[in-house]
Amino acid sequence: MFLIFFLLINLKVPQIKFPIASDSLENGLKIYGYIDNKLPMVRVKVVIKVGSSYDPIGKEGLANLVINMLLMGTKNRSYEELYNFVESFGGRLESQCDYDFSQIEIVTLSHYLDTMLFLIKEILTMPKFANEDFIKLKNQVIGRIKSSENLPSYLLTKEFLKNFYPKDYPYRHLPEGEINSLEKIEIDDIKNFYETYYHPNNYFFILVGDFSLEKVKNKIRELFVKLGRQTIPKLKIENFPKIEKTKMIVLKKKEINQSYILLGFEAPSGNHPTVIPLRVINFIFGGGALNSRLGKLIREKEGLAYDVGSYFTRRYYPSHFICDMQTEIKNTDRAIDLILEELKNLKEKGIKKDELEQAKRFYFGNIPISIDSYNDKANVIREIVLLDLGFDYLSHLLSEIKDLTCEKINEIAKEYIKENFLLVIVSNLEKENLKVRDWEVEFIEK
Amino acid sequence: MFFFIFYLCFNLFVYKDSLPNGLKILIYPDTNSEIVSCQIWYKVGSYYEPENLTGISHLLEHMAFKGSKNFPKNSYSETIRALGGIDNAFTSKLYTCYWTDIGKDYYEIVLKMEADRMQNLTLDRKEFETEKKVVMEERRLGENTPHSSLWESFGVISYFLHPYRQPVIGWMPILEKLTHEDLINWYKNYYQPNNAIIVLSGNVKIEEATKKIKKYFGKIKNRGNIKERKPFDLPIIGERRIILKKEVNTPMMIFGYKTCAINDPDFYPLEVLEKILLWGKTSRLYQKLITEKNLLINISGGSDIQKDTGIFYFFLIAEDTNKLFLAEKEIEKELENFVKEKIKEEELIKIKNRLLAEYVFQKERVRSVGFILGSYEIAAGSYKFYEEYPKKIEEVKEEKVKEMIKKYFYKDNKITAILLPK
Repeated sequence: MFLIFFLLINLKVPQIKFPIASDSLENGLKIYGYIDNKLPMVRVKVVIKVGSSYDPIGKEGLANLVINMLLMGTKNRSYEELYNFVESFGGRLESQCDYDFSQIEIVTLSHYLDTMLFLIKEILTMPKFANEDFIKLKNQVIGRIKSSENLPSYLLTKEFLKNFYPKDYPYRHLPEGEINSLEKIEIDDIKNFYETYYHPNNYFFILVGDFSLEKVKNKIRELFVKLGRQTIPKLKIENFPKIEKTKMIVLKKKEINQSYILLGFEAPSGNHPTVIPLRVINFIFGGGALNSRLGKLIREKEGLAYDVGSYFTRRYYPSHFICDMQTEIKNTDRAIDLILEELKNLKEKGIKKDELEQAKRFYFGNIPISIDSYNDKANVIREIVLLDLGFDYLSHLLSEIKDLTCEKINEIAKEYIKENFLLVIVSNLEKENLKVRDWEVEFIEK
Repeated sequence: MFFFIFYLCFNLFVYKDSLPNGLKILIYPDTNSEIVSCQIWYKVGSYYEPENLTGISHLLEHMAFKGSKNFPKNSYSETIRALGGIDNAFTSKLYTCYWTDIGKDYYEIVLKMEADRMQNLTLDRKEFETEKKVVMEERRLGENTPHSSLWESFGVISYFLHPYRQPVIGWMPILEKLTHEDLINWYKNYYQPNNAIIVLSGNVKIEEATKKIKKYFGKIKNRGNIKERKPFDLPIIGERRIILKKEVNTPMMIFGYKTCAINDPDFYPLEVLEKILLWGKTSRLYQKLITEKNLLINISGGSDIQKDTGIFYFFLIAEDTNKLFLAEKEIEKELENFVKEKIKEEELIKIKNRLLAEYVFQKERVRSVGFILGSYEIAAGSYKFYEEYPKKIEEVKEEKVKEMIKKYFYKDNKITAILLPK
């Protein structure tokens, strides 16, 4: 009803300016720069195209240990010296391991950028890999996993991944791995993994902020040009996720007073042609916060949950679409029924014209907001490079959204909203308190 | 090692004004950004709530998205989304903030909506009952998160009478009993121009923005004067210690010491002390307890200083109970040694350099600048508190940092909450 009001506001489809400069060295190392002189600082991300998806079976958590071991010291500096060096210049030094990539990030005042680039080279090419540091790090990660296992949401995600993906699939575990898989990893595994994947043709630099592009290119060239290119093994995937039959798993956790619910099915890879329409579908269904269908029904109308939503994960290989929420235990069945009803509506009846119009307008206006900070910009560049989306991706995104029709969206929704799904619940509910459904059901006592 | 004082020159330009009805205006123009973060801050939160109304400010914040006279049901967020914007709100002890990030050409509509939100909220009775259920679900989420439960208990034993003992989300039995009338009275009492601040951060022209603010807020009348609350607490006269037991596989502990209020000059040496002890992987306690002695899985904490009073706290998570208690003792030992030993000059300079660099890094996002201005304007009485921060940090001397330990970190001023596995 209120649509009439905002349709009167003349929203301009923005001309997106997102100038990414790029360069590459003979050894395959690539540099992506975005100049923004607003502040005297630079964010530098070095992205290694290897993440937890490359963990060998039985040694889940290896990629995460490797990237963290790089910050445990170099041949020239101990771990304390490394951090103290960055911090004495006011900078930040961090590492991250995701499913499709690992990353080292330095945030620095522009004045010290050259010094930090020099340090990055040392971190990437001269790791110490001392066994005593490795043992310490492994114990810390194991400790953090134990602590995370106090959280129902953590158990929910872990249980979902384990049951959703085939045994040899790269996204079957969280990047930090499992306690028993970490215990099997030795320092030689770290060294081998590093030797296999950490070569200049398998990583790239992203710099956003106040710097001279030419100077940075020259500096990186000077520092990295002599490193050799190596052949990087690619993942071989034979079995892709497919839920053939609906299944519900209930993981019992004492003392909690809500059911944590997660329902999911297959989604295409992050650079699949349907990804943009699927994003729009998700915005309408559960991704658009309180304005989405799930938000309006489950939270606004029924008051069943504080946090309810859905999303398509965007990864290099096919992954999952999920809906999740938490509700008081007595409302578990009602909540599941409502999610299923909405999914059925979406699949069978599709979306409405005004919903599509609102989604389009959201995306047209949202781009400047989604790239406001240096960090936002760097993350967009990382996604563009990892998924090979092209530098004109943001403009392309808008033009594709502009051309979307209800017919096209509904066709895609029909295909991608699946009949069969995996439903995982972490709760303190008893089997007899759930209504009988025509699904395979498994109860797990923790 | 050097100290980059030249970055002290990198300062904020903030325009401050107010309307005759008492509405304060803070504008941070940033023409490099393509957006505006439009925020309205009300001086109301759990600090202002009597014991029988805990959680009402937060519940009102939820209800404030349910529509007003000229922007009916759900139309706030729908309108903002249709312009590509994002919006949300948060309630804390001292304030409630509604924020919207939107393209630079569209912030006027947000001002119009916020003006309507200030005067004409619908606050429908039926929707109130539904939203109360949503807030109760939000509270349950916290109850199922062990460290949140521990925090709540730590708050209760830290303050016997002061409203800081109350959780912002409220106590469940109180939430259940909150009435529609309570909500309307709370709204009428606190949502008025003389209790609010408009913060615009981003690509705006000051003159034009001020004109627009006057257009929508200038004619709003105050409903009355708000009495300044002056809560008090019993003095702490001996250690307070509480032990909780739950189904957890890692024990945890929060312990802390009562310190000072935000406008006390001790704020700055306590900031520096916090960073030396707890900031990142090179901090003294991380090094000692995690890297060196392997006693903890994680350590965090800091100087949490608010209006009226503050607490310097340590939050420890260990693999087992024995290690947890050893870590507590080890920290006490470190604090004792801290006073005896000299702080290395390079350590002090490093911390100051980091604080000053962070002062630059924090300005990456216009929304964050707005949050800083609004929160300091309320908690410290002026946003200028933040403007003066680099200079005050630069002035902190080693002896003053050590003095903080002697002044505040003693046994009879200690508060401890422990969560052990059942």
